[in-house]
Amino acid sequence: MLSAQKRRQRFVFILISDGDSMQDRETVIQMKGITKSFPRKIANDHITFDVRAGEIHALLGENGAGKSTLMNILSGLYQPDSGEIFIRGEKVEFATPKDAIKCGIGMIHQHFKLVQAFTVTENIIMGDDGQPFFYNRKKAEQKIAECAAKYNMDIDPSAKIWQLAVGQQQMVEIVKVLYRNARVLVLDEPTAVLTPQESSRLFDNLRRMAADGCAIIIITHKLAEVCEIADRVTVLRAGKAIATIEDEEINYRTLSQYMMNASGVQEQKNEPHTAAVRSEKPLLRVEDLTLQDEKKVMRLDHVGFELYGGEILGVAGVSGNGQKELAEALCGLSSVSHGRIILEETDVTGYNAKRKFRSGIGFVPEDRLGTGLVANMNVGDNLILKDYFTTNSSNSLFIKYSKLTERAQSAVERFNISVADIKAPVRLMSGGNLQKLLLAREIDSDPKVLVAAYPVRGLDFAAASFIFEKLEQLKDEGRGILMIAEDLDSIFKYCDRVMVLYRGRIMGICKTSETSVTDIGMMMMGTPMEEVKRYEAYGHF
Amino acid sequence: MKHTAIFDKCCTGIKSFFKRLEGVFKGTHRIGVRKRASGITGQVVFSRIVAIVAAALLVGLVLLIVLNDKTRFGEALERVFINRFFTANIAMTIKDAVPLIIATFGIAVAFRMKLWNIGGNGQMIAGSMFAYGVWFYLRALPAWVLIPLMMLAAMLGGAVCSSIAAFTKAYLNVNETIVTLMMNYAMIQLGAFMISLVGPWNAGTGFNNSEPMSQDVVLPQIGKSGIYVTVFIVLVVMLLYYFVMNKSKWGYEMRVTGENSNAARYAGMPVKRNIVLSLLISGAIAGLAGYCVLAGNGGQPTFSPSAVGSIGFTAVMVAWLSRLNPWGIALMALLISGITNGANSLQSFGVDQSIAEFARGLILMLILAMDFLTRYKIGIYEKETKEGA
Repeated sequence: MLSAQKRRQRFVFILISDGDSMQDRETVIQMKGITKSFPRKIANDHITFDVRAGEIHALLGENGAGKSTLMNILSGLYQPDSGEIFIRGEKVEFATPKDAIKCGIGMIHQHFKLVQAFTVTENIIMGDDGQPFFYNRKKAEQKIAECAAKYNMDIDPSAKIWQLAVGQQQMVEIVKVLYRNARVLVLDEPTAVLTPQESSRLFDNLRRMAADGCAIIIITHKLAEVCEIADRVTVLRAGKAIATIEDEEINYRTLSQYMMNASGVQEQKNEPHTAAVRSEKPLLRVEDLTLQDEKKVMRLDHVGFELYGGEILGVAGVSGNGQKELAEALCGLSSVSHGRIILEETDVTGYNAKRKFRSGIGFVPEDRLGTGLVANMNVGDNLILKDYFTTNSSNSLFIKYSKLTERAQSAVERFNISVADIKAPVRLMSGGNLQKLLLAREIDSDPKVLVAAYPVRGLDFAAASFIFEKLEQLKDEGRGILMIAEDLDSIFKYCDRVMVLYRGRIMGICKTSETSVTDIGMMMMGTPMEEVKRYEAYGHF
Repeated sequence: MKHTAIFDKCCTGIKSFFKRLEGVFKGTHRIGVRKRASGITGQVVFSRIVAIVAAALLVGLVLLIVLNDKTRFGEALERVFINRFFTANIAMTIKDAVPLIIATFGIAVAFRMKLWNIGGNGQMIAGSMFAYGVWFYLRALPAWVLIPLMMLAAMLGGAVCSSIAAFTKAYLNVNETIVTLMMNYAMIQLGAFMISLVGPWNAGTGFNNSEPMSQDVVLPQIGKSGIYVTVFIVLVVMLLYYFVMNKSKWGYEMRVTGENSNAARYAGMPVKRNIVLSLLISGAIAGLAGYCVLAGNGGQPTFSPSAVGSIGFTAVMVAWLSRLNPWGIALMALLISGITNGANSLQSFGVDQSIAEFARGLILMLILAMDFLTRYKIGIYEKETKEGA
């Protein structure tokens, strides 16, 4: 379905462009045999890569596959150990990013490099050598406005950055490189911070630029995006370029095959598997939950749902629409203004975090090191964080520190946590291992209900599938899991049902097998499920 | 054979050093400071020794310049670094160290929670003021009632003094560093008023001082050793600190809260209550140190805010240098009070007092500088690369 949509869009844009076919497009950039090694690993191993004018080229790979390193070399941030870069057939060497900019290569980083208190214009001309000491603000603004209008980006050159939405800030970054006459744009994980709406807007803009003859490289690890937008895809794995695929071949199946091999996982599952047991009665019942913040803004607006044992209920929504508040209310970190939370038969609404935990609600928070773990303490100390007061880990006065090492050892083995020194502070561990440790603690506490906020955010494929494996195991044991997630991929893959939050309200709850990405996307944008259904049936609202 | 191996190793080491040095000029490397993975006790002890040797060299150099009678150079150096530790004078060092150690334990209780209580001085003054007040108004009571009462009063005084910081920090998020610092000045002034000519505790001799306490409430020496029974207070505080902080559930809560208050809230720990408790206990222990200054040094003790000196601030330094380790606190406090004591006695060599203070400052500074090297190492490193994708 996605694929049809893509083809339609591409068709439109080919009409807009001069109609040149893919084959006779000029190769703008050619990287040959690029090798770059860091003290402990080879980030790029003889990578050969080329980009043509007018194409959108995706660099796909897991975390640590070498995508960013390769692009940092292209943008002059790193120098390769060996290998050559050609621009339009001419050999170049970049000592600094400035050299790359001069050759028309512009990089848009994942984390924007903008000064919040400055205006758009000030941010764009900042560091531009072409400007005289006293620059002509009117003229600069005009040029920027033209530049933006050319690709249908509506940004006010005199607006301050902090006034802009994230998507607009990204546009400013793009205009910044276009303003410097970039013809090759490199975007590092451009959709990571965007809403689906903003993403599709971005993609439209990128297609427009490509149609205008720019070469566009996007670094990503999201398959869906690649299928939607890329003309060609280069898959990187462990520092090597595995394959470059084109056009017809770009589909979930092929791409995931290339990606999967990397982690040794056989095949992507399409249907969430059904648990062995599914409870008759709901484990957790939330009724009319309402939460206002200090400014009297509704964060949760009469939220009500049921969570059964043996299911994973996904919570979808653009971040900031009440997911965090819901999780914190369920786990006793914030008090609700109205409504009830009922665990099995007990009303646990007013319980604080400790009592919620004791009555069987586990919580994997969004911010691992900031909330879930204590960075400067070791594995054992972190394992007892939530049950240090129980007989499990202490007597009436003292913590049983002597038993801790054993417990840490066991968790490390069972959850496949790789840790250099079990006594070292956990801040030295990688994101995936931290999440495994966090999950180990919550699962070992034997929760009836587990609330997991963004459990695989920022993790590589192997770590993420391990986490999901553990969650499914928990589901098989008849526990209920509420999983807050941002990528619909994993919601469709692992959740039995999905609930969509928009501005603190539930837009709809439905089975993942009976809905589609488009429907969920519409709900995430604020269309209630009934209207979505009506739209599907009649073709209009 | 073996020698060539070592030689080779040295060669590669030097080569890699120069290669990295070359990198600095090329721009691929930079000279930088990195945090060591964790403090190793051996390293810490070694660094202290290096610091003291370096300090001895520097102080020696200074003494060579300023001593009138150069023949007494060796003796002067011995006075600063050896005399107060290895001779009968150790008693003097211990006597001076007692209030410092107790005050440091007090400060350390708050530091464990990353609450920067720098009001040790004020809390000590409050402690000795409350203790003196108990004697002043209840002196009719027998000594065996008075002495424990004075101790309790001292702890209460310290806690009262830190309570303002405790509650404002917990409930209004007011910076505890500033509040505790300001309380120092408030306490100095209050104490000065109490003993001034118009104050209630003035001895009536026409000077700004208070009446000496009766001898039966002054704590005795152990035999004729010059060490007072206050060392037992030190031992009790030390053991309590060790077990509460390192072994107990409450100590664990404090450690978690200090490291990451979000995680503490997430785990359901009573963060606000613990902030209040730790600052109150911190103040109470510092108050007890104030009691030791008042009643634990023999003589004819009177209450005076200046008797506390700057122990409360030295305690901050000791707490920092000992990394809140209970045994480290005791050793570090002994070392610092011994050296301070020795440096002060340089005056008998015809050296000006400012030189003595200079020498003391030099030693402390070197210890601090070496401490930096045990936490961090300086080297030439490959430039930080944003590794990740």
